[in-house]
Amino acid sequence: MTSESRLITFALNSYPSWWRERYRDEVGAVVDGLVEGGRSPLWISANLLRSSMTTRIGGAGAPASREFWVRRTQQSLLVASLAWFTIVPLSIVFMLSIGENEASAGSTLVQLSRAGTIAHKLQSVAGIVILLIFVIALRGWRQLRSGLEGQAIPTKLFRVVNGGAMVGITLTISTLFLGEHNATSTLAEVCAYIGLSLFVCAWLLTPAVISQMLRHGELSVTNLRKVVSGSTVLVWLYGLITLLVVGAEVALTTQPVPVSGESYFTLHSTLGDWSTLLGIGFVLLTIFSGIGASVSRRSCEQILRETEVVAPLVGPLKQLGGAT
Amino acid sequence: MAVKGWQRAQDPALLVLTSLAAGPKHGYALIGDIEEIAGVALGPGTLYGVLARLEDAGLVEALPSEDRRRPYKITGAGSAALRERLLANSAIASIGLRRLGVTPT
Repeated sequence: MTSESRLITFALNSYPSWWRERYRDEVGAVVDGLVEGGRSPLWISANLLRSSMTTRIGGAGAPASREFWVRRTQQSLLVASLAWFTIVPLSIVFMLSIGENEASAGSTLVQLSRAGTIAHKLQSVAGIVILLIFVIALRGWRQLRSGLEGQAIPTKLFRVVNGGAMVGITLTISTLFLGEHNATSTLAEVCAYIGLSLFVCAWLLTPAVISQMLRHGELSVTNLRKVVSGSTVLVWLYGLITLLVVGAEVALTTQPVPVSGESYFTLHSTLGDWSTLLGIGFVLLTIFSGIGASVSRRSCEQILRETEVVAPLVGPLKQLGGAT
Repeated sequence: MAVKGWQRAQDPALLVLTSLAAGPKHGYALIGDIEEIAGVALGPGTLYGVLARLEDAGLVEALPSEDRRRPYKITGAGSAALRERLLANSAIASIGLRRLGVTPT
């Protein structure tokens, strides 16, 4: 097998399973014909890869069964929600990384430059947006749990993660009181490390819990609609926070360079060159969750269309069943 | 002044339906026919993306496969949709040509 034919096979395998079952053989025959006709295998592979991406997003040619679309909506919701677990810690890193430079001694303190003021304001708004994201995500989490209540969901992992998070938070907070006395400072340090480790583990395992819950349960159409709307709002907020972070980083770099010997007051980011990577990370996460939210919205619309088609038939059929 | 790439902006769904209007065809024959009538080289991914959407919409129908190749035919709804779209396009084309002072031959 040549590298070119391997690339074509890879491109064909990149399609979703339902597409491969239905079209794989046919497309294989067309590809063979095109290669024999002299068409570039690279061009064919690129075309197949691009199309497999749009097929995964759009779901063209997918089975019409309700179960398939519910599963697809839930999976894409998972993709959309996963970004939350990275965006929140990244935002905290961003918030903590910006600080003020000390003014040089000897003269009156100069006001913060215009760019610095803008960066400071953007940082404050980003903080508010993060709080908003947190509240919406917690509400969505409650929605998800109540929507899946009463279904056969494996709860072991859920309990472990919940317990780990609770113990972690309690230990970390308790170190604030313990650490005040010299005699207990070592104990406080140990508690803080254990608490933070437990919290981080719980945080990292939460996507697996959500994934298990969605895999083993099924949300009703009403709950799906609510969660889809929630994830769409979150994606818009991710976009907003991305703009704020990138804007603040740009503003920081455009602050006037202080002249030696003069008094000055500037904001600086302790991340240095890493701040560019932070900005790129925010953009990628927003795109990633945006695709997930968009697929979940489309899939949910498909379920609603089917429900609208089926619902008028179900009523009369039930009445007929009752009459006989 | 030539605006680069605007000639390629042709709807693949319209091209597929137009090709199938002449009779059932399988994927490879569709690509060849579209290249001949419109000068557009559709890739296999693009073609089957369009076919899947048209099949979902009930505008084309798959016929029993011959070995690995499966022919497709245009449905009644597909013919009606194509007619409507071509009439709309021809109305725009004739207005555009008239405004340009070109008399269609």
